[in-house]
Amino acid sequence: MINGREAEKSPERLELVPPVDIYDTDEAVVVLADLPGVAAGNLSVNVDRGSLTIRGRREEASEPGQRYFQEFRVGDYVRAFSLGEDVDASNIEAELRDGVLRLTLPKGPERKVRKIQVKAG
Amino acid sequence: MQLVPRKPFGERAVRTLRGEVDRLFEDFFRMPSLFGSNLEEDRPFMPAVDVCETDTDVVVEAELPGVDPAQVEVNLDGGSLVLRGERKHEEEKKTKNAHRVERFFGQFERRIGLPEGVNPEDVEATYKEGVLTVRIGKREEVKPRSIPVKVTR
Repeated sequence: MINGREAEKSPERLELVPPVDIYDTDEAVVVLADLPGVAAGNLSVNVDRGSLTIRGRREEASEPGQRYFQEFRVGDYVRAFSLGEDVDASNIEAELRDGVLRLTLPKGPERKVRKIQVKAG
Repeated sequence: MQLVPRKPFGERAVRTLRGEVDRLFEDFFRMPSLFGSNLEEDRPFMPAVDVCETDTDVVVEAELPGVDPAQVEVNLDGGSLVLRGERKHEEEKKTKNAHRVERFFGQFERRIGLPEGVNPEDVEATYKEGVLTVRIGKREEVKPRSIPVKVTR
């Protein structure tokens, strides 16, 4: 409490960078991110002006006991990507399963590989 | 090789670049073989582990996203908990062009020393959101008890 005001500022959360794999198929770009300990309700995927941001919140462990070996880091997983113009941002699919987020970013019509008919002349 | 737990760098204000550097260091310490690794093959890795102890249990948690829990061996071996298994790629890997591959796959193993007094008959392992949690109960005699003090006058 400072000057009678409620200083309700939460402590700054640690930001962690999750490892990702990025693959390319004919139709889409696939991003796979490791987000262990993140529940679906604590995950946000946002697209803003050509930039895709993943933010997953990892909660404090519920065990109240004495922690004597800690390698986990508690905080927010954050990773941002620039989207190329060929990505169709309105049709991004996201699936979170067993701590792995799969994002499927369909490519716009220009980038799809098309079979071109060869006319025999 | 005895693995010494590494204290996290622990700063509050972490920017992306620093987060990347932290992760590079952590990956460095977690990989058992640093030389001769073939980048095209999966390298063995060691998942991050948290251990905590309450009055009644010892709880071990391991970060294992994307692992089939049926493929993980959880064993109690002479006072240690051994977690062993393999993380496989999602099937499609071979048919796609990879731009970036940062995640760890392949064989993993961690051996975690447990305090005395755990009861090997009372072990429960669960897997949720990519975290494997192993709870091991403590034997009755090591649970803290409140001892009444008898007063004689």
